[in-house]
Amino acid sequence: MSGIDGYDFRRYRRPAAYLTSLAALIALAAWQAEVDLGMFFRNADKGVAQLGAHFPPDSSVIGIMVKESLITVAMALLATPLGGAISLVFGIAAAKNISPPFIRSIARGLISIERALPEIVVLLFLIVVFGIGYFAGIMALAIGCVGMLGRLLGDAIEEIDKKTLESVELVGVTRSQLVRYAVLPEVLPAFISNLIFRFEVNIRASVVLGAVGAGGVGYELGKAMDLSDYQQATTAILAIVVLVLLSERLSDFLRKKVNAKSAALA
Amino acid sequence: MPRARLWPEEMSDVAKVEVPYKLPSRSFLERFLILSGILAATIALFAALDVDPFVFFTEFYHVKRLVVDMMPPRLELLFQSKGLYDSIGETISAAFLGTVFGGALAVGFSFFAAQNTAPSKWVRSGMRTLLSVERAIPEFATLLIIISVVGVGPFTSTVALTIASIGFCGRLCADAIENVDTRQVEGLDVLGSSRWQTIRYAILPQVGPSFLSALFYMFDVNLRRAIVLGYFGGGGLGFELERSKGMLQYKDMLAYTLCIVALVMVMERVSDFLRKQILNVDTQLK
Repeated sequence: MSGIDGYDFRRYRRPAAYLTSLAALIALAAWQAEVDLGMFFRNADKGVAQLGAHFPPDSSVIGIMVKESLITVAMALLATPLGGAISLVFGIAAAKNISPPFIRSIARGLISIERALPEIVVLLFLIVVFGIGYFAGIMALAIGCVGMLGRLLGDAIEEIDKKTLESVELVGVTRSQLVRYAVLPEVLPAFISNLIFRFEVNIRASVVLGAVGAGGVGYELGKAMDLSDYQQATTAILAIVVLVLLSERLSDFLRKKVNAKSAALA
Repeated sequence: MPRARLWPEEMSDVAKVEVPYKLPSRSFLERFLILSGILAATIALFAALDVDPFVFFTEFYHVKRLVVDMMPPRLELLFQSKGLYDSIGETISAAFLGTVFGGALAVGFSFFAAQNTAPSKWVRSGMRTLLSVERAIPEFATLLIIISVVGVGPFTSTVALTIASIGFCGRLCADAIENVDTRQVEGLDVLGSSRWQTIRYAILPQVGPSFLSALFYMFDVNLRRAIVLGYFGGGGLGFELERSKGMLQYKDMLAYTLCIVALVMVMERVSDFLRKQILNVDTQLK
């Protein structure tokens, strides 16, 4: 099917196929997710009223929100190193150049299962066991580190130059000495940088976990929404936004410092 | 000290210099100080939160009881209830639609947030601030507000994820736009192209693959978020999980958890495969 001056409409075949299948997928998903735009716009005034109820933010609870934000920070501060320690074990066990194949495949399997588990699911099980509270939240955040940090660490160890490991092995070291003197010095700077990034992720995650029952500023937000104290909820949201933005800045700053230092050492 | 021992025997005369063995080395001191600082901070934080970390060991029998209670997982759910497949479909659909619509909005916004396409410096910094504030708002708060409009169900998740994707995806896209090869843009500028023409012929062809990768990444993130939002009333697997926990049906809970793990893993593979297919075809065409 060629048009004027040999212009070929077939060039549009592939984009047209993409767009059609995309449209079909959207239609299928919209049906499955019970999308009802008519209802959305009919009820839009309710949404506006709801948003109106959120303003102005309740300034009388600023003190509580700051205190709860600090609790969230404390939870992330405790969880991140703990999770880092667990990830260190898993990461070393998951590297094929220093751990036996059997252990490696178990560690890799556990890491990828953890990576597929949202923190909230881990928290639900921990709440069943340890009850609602900070402890379950800290544990859930720490376990949540393993999927990301363990995998990154395992990959980093596997990328270590073979010669480095062999030259240390030649001296006749044990496996733990090999880890201590050949592996850790190579991967530690990147690991610390990842750990700092994970701290930032943990702050965000602990807000959601808080709403499920782990405490902190997320819990205050969930409670305020449940009790229809919408103005308090806005204060909590503002506190969370400030907290998240600050932690983002801090982690960017610290990671730049760590990277600069490790670059200077190398 | 180890170093003294490594020296050969015949050099021992030379080595008999007064070495202050009793003094620990500086690096050891540094390490000791850092570690004890971390330890002190940990204890102080646990005390401040009034948390006893040893409940992990003292209450460990609860773990054993839970394991007994939830074994074996009620995998019959896979064969019996139609509801399970519905909730899987709801979770995937909410994540997919949130990614498509949120991504479309984000792509639109990103041109105002990128230095080389924004109409002015002020628009750019304003848009950047808006995007990062939006990213910092927790999704479940958005969801709880939207519930008042459309009620409980997967549609709520869809809307919340659409909104939540804008900040995240908008930033990725804006960064991609800022990283384009400026020579192509300048080339078109020299020819006297309008802003729209520059975007259409110099920037879009370059950022297409990055946008696509950002969207596929966004889908992976949104799938996890859809599960979380389900817990707060957004339908899908998260909602089922919340219900089974509320009813203390631990066997169901484990079955849903296994479903979630399988779903996330499979969808990760699928989106990885599709992304590679689409991007490969694109590079072949060029």
